[in-house]
Formats: sequence, structure tokens, C-alpha cells
Amino acid sequence: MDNYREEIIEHYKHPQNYGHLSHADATVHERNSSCGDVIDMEVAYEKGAALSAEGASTSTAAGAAKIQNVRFTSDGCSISRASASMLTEEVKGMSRADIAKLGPQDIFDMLGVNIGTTRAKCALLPLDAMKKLIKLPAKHE
Amino acid sequence: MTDFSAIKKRFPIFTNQPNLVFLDNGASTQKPQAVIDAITELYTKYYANVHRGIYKNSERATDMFEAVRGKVQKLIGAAHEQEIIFTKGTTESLNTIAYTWGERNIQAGDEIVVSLLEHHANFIPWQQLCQRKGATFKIAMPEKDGTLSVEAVKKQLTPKTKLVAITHVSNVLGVITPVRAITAAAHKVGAKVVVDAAQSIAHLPVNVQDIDCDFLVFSGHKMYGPTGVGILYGKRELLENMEPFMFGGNMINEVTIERSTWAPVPEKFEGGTPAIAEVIALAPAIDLLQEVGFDAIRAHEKELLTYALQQLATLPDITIYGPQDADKISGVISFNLDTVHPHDTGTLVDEKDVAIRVGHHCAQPLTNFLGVIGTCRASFAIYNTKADVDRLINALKHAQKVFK
Ligand SMILES: Cc1ncc(COP(=O)(O)O)c(C=O)c1O
Repeated sequence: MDNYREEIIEHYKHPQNYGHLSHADATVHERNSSCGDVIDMEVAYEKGAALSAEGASTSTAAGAAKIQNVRFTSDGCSISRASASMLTEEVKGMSRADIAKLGPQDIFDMLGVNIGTTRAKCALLPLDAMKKLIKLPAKHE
Repeated sequence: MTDFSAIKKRFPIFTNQPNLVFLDNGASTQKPQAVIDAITELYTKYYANVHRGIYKNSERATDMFEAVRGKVQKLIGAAHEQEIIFTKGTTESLNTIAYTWGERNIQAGDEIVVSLLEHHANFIPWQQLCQRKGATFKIAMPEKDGTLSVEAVKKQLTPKTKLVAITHVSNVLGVITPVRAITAAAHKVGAKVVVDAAQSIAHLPVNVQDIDCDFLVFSGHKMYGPTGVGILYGKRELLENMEPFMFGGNMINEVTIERSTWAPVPEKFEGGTPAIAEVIALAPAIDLLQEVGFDAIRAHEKELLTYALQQLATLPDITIYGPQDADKISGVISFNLDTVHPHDTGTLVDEKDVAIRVGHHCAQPLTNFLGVIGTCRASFAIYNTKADVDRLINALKHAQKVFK
């Protein structure tokens, strides 16, 4: 068991996409009720993307909208922060519909560690936040 | 002198996992062989439902079951055996009080006082009761170091106060509260008092007549007994005047189509088949506590707490919460490594086979007060040793190294 390979510590100490966007289309606040960790995530979609309230759905134009940029801030452990750092890197340029298809295993693969049930919640907090975020209506269309 | 390393040998988990350092006793303790044997013996030798059959096995099971009531009575110094009600744990005991005594006796405009130290189990039932009834939910605030003074509780008491619910020992900070003085103050304004003894029952002598509390609750699994059994103590007059809440078998006197009448206490509050094996196996756990004795238990614990506080303080970048004085705390020390998130600390010390609890410990109002999302908590039991503290310190150094 090695939950702390260097890459995770590195992402924890120097997270990617940490901070705020000058211009966010939607923001979300998510909390892990078992440990109290919190994450805030904001997204900007590519210009001209069709954005509507129904959010991510494979069949609609809104589902095809691609992520231009995403940022997060969090108060959390190394696993949740590294997971957020890696996930936000991964999703840039992806469509809402493709993000909606991401599952827990994708996150565990990204982290590259075999995580226990309790810590799995830490690892999945950013994905939960991300999935909520892309379902939100964009502030300006 | 009690030989605590011999006591450790009675807990088979440490034979099966010789390297285990178990410091999450505040959540639940390990079980001695005698408790495990009592369960096996019942199921293999004389199992039957209690209070029902007139055949030999049922009578033996009933006798064994009822004998535990007397043991609990003696453990907490209750005046009457009927004042001991078996529940499934502290949480059920507290909710039972809220739904029986609380529903009947709390009205709009009344006030209920709890402290900020409370576990959610002794916080939410009263908060929700107040919301249902239009009563006022008031909080007695601890000092900066987490200690709770009688004055802090007195400040919240008014002639409208109907109930004061206070933990005997904080499950986050280990702080021992002055329950006796708090009870006296509450009684002066005519309020009833609930004491949550979940964290104290295996650590400090608890005497309900000395405290003079109206209710006292605890769980079997935090005192070396099985899960699924807990105690609700209530003064007899109070229990007799309370309506039952769990209707069904065992708790009735007579049932007709028109109406039902209730069995006397304690059966009135023990509807349904109880946790027979768990109640019976609570007996050897109580025997263990009484065999070792609370003087020896407390002396051993204070030695461990003092040593742990000293050793933790030698670490760089550590914040220790609570009064940091073994006289003022019992069983529990909370801390954080400044450079490591508590979750990471928990996982990293586990790599060294040291089990601690991390998080908000079901006491979010208190962790908010401390200004943290969570803490690391080391909590001690009779089988812990100074060597366990040394292992904890080394494991914490390992965590700090990983996050250097
Ligand atoms: C002080 C305190 N009260 C109540 C509880 C709840 O006990 P249980 O989960 O056994 O019902 C606990 C333990 O988690 C506790 O530490």
C-alpha cells in the first residue's frame, strides 16, 4: 500500500488550476460530509458554445459544449487536492457530455493508487463537484 | 500494582495482530475473550428468547439477561434495578428520552441547554425537539481550552429551562465536565438533567446518585462490551410517569381492540426482542472494569495521558487541543500536525499499524469552535501502554517526513 507516491504529494504541494477564473460561467461548492473537506470549483466554457439550463446531456448541443478553463480552491487532504488537480487538468477541452461519463475508476486510475473505502470519498469529492458544475446553467450564454 | 500488560493478553485481537497499536478506543474498544466467550456460550449452549418460554433454556437465558441489569445498577450506583433500561446504544437512549419525556414535557417557550462539547447524539435530538415544540435551544460555551465551567452552564439557566443535557467527558478533547455541580445548578431552576456517559463509563467512576442526574446514558461497545447494547438510566418516578415510545411485544400489560396498557418499567421501554447475546455478554465487560477497579484504571490512564502529552509536545509543528492536563481530561487527546491534513495523518500512521481517528468526531459545533475541519484523536484504553505512545510518535514523525 502506497497512497503517497511522489506524484500525489507533488500535486498536493503544487496543485494545478488552483485559484479563481477572472470570468466563470458557473461555480459550485461541494462538501464531504464524512470529513468536512470542502471544494469550490468554477468553469468557463469555450466561446460560442451553446449553453442552456439542461446542462450536460449527450444528445443536446449543450452537451457538446467544451470546457475552456476550470479552477478550484479547497480545504482538503492530499488525496482530494491531488485528485482535483489531476481532474481539472484532464477535463480541459472535454465536452460536458464526456465529463458526465467519467466514473470513480477514472479517478483511481489517474491517482494511480489503490485507495481504501474511506479515503475513496476524499478522492471522489472533486469528481462529484465537477459533475454538479457541468449540469449548472451558465451565467452568460 | 495492576499488571496492565497481562490485561492486554485477554484481548485476542492483540494476539492475532501483535503489531497493532489501537488508539481509537473513543470510537469503540476491543473485546476481551470473556465477552466473546459469553456470546458463543449462549448461542452454543442455551440460546432461547427471553421473557417468553417457560422451558429451561428460555429461563436460563432470561436469568442471565436479567442478572446484567443488576450488574449495571451496581456499576452506576442506581437506587433500583428497574431504573436500568436496555437500548441499542447511547444514540437510541438519548432519542428515547427526547421522544418520550421530551415530547410530553417540553412546550413552546421552554428552554433546553446543552454544551458545545456535545457529540451529535446529545445535540441533534434536543435541537430537533426544540424545533418541533417552539422551544429555545441554548448552548453553554466552553473556555478557550475546551473546559466547561459550571458558571458557563449557569449563565444559560433561567426559570424556563426544562432540560440540561451534558456530556461527562468530551469525545474530542477528553475534557471532564463538572456534572455534579451542573446538575445541582439545573435542579435549582427546576430543570431535569441528562448526562451522556458514553466516554466516561469505562474510564471514571460514575455514580448516578452522587451526580443526582435524572437520566444517564452509555454504550456497551465503548466499555469492552459488544455492539448493539446500551443503557438508559432514569430515576424511577420519572420513568414511571413517561409514556412508552416503542410499541410491540414485551412492553404491554394488556391489549384489547380498544386499548392497551403498559408493563411496568423497565419492560415498558423495551419493546421487541432485545439484543440478548449482547446484553448477556456485557456482564463480563463490567466484571473486567470492576476487577481492575477505577482507581487503577484512572491511575494508568493518567500516566499514559501525561506521557503522551509530553511526547506529542516534543514534535515540531504540532497543535494540541484541550487543556493538556491529565487531571482535567480522560481518555482522549486531540491534535493536528500543522503540515499534514488529518486524513493524511490517519492514513500514514496506519501504514505503521497505529489506529487513530481523524475528522470531526461527530461533534461539528466543537470542531468549528476550534477553528478546524477535523483533528487527529488518540484515545486510550486499559490495554494501551507507553510503548503504544512511542509507536504513535514515530508514526507521526513518518507522516511529517512524507509531507516535508
Ligand atoms: C460522547 C458520546 N456520545 C454519544 C456517542 C454515540 O454513541 P453510539 O454511537 O454508541 O450510540 C458517542 C460515541 O460515538 C460519544 O462519544
